[in-house]
Amino acid sequence: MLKRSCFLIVALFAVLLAGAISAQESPRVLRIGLTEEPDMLVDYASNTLLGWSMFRLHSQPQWGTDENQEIVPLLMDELPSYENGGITITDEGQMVIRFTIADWAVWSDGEPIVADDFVLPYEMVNDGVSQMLAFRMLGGAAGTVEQGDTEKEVVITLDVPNPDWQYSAIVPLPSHILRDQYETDLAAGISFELNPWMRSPTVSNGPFTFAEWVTGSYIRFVKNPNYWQDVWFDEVILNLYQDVSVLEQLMVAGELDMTRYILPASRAAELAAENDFLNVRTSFGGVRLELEYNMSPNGNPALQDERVREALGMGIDRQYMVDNIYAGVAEVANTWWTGTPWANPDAAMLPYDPEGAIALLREAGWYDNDGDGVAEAHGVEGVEDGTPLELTATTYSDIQHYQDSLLYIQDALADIGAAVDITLHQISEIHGSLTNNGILATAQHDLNLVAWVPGVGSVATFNPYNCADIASEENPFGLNGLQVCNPEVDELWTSLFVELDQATREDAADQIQALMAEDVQTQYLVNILYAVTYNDRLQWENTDVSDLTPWLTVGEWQFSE
Amino acid sequence: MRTYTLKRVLQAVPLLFVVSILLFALMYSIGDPLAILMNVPRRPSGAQLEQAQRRLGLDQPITTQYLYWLIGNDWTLIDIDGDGTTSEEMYGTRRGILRGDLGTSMVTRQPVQTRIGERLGNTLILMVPAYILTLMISFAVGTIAALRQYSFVDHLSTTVAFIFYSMPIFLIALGMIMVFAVAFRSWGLPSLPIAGMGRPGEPRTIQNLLPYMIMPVASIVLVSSAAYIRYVRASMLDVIHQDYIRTARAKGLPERLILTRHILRNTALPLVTIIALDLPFLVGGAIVVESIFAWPGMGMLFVESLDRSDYPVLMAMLMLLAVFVILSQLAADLLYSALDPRIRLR
Repeated sequence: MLKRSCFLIVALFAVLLAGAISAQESPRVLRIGLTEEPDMLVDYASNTLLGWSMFRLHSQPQWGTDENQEIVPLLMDELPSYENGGITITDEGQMVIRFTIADWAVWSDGEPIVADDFVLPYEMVNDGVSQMLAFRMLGGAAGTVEQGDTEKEVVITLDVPNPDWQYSAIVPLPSHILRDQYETDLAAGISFELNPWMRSPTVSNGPFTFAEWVTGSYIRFVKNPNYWQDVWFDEVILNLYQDVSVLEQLMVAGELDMTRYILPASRAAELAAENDFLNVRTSFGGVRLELEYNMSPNGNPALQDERVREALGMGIDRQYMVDNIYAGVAEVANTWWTGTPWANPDAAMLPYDPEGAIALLREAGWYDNDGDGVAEAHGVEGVEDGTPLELTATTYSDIQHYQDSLLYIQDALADIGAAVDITLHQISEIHGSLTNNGILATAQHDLNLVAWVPGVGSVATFNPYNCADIASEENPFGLNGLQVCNPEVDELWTSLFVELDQATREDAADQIQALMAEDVQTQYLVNILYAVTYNDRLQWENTDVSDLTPWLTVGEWQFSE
Repeated sequence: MRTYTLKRVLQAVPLLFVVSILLFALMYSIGDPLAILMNVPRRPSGAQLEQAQRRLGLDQPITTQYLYWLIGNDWTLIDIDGDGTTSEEMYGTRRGILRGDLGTSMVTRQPVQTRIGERLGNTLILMVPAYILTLMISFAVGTIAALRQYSFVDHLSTTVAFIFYSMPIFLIALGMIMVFAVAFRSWGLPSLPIAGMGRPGEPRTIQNLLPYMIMPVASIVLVSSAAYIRYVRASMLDVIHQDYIRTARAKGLPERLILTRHILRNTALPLVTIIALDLPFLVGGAIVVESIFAWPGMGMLFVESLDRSDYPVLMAMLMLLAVFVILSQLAADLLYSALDPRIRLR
């Protein structure tokens, strides 16, 4: 019996090995590695940045921004403008944008794209049944989308003139397929975001169309036969691998052509150095690492003193972080807009000066008298003499390089006499709302090492220090739990959303950055660069590899011979 | 036996109820599912988030949320606009786990049944062959090692078992990838696919699937067999030295009969407990192996759901595991009585 068992086992292995023969891959398949799976493929319904950004692979809005953040027409021949009458301001102060879809713009099934394809998603988002969040429509601005005089003309009416009207781009949905089903679901009170179409949009208008999604494994797109431009690849396959080590091996083995998930970026650079056929391309994708000071009245009194905040900033060597934690694949950040066209180069930058930091702390009444290496309070208002300068700090437990950054900060601040006690939390805990005891919303720590996504495009990003957004029982979703508030900054920031004159906006942005630097509200640390690792047989041009428009030019990508 | 089985099943009901309360409380503490919306360039306003929270029922106290999870909320009106009245609002849509509705994934907005259904089959494809192979190898090697105690084979199997038992499974898995996929390919030898369940676009046939199964199955088998071989060997040595085996030999019974009828049967008894404890992992999946080999099973789903605070999916998976733990223990008890007639179930 034993012999028989052994024979069976050996025979089974032999059969398994016999099947392990690699088949030849189609030469025109672009294989991309992901470490997380999108939730949906239709951007309005997606709650993840990945799902939100992937639409460009299979769908085109009426216009978009190119790699230089310049607006370009996509489904029309001419952009609307004030000059050609496409954009008008009504007597009621509304902004009306009219555009006509080009005759050559068709769906992948050959049907023409019409105005109702733009009206449908607007209705879906605003029907009161959908759980979709309307902030994704019209760039978050209030307004309407209607058909114009012809079935090809779309009219977008924004309640308030929007200087960033180009962000009101709408990804159309094929109403000739979805309209009837939508009406039926709506009548039955069923949210259309639960419709399988949101995960399998088989008809689209981008360079590729959805073909297959094997959940947890891969998503396959095939070339859109009716795309307005010639597309080189026959298929794009997004492969999901949770383990980054495996992703690396797949890149080394040539089984993947591209990924941006080999993190930190320094690891991607190492991998490229070890393998001649791998390259790395970096760009600022809009994620910034910063140290936020808790300035709420219940927070550590030491942080109420601007000199202490300044000293802490001077104790951190940001260039060291760039060189050693991020291996050069990052850049020192000085303001909220560092790395974007809106950055103010004149905004004051704190130098790395540990001696100066110690002197500044001493001036503020914090110095080490008992020789334990930790400064104590000496005559500090509201603080008992001898109280050590001990601060609590947190960052994301889910991401290693943030933890490495905070560990460095702990060491650096210890050198100037500040003891930092670290507690890690998950992202969902840190950014949770007040009702869910969110770490930021409830201001639980003195120092918060967090990453924000201000983006790289519009200057009118959300204001994390909005005075009206201070978390409270009345405003449980207010994000400003640290209670950093400067009314002057607030007013300027609000103007970014409504001011139409570009020069005035730029001036407002400059002032905001100068004021924030003056207040030492936050210590901006580094801009985290996206690093795309790719096989050098892939010929691709796209200077913007961020999550926002990673597929900007995918229709033009190809393999070298 | 029927009465015993019925009694055990009825006992499981309050147990599952208590487990569900504990799990729900645990899920409640893993973070805010809406936090994912907070850090995007165009983040929603507080009012929009508040509305999303109400629609998903996250604004309710934990006891109410548990009640909705248990019996649904289709009997109550939801205050969507938060004006404090429900007169003009809509009824909830959830039927609750007691009525077969495991909820809706907060991430993909799919029914949890669908999410689990997509993955459970994949896990079984991986785990069942791995488990069968583990048992076959363990019994074969463990038996040889016990029957030839202190021989070269015994020493070799002990050494190899200790090596694999002490190695983390991710090391074995990554080592296999390095050798059989990456290195073999660079040497021009036939190589194994690194990860996944098949080539995208190809039909899922046994022939297509087998190459992808080799490394994940082998990783699980190597680690699991190492422990089982030791159990089998120890259990068998214990039985071999019993008086009834000596008596059987004295009676002149053939060695093969002694082995199959007396030794193996009695060896199996203590192993049933260990096997029963491991059985739920057949549906729970192997988190590390699935993650490394991108095997889209229950283990991977668990990690994904935990990362995204998708608590309806996590709750359903953990409850499923709890049910299987109870069922496998029941099966073990019933098997005891079948293997050993002296054991009577009451």
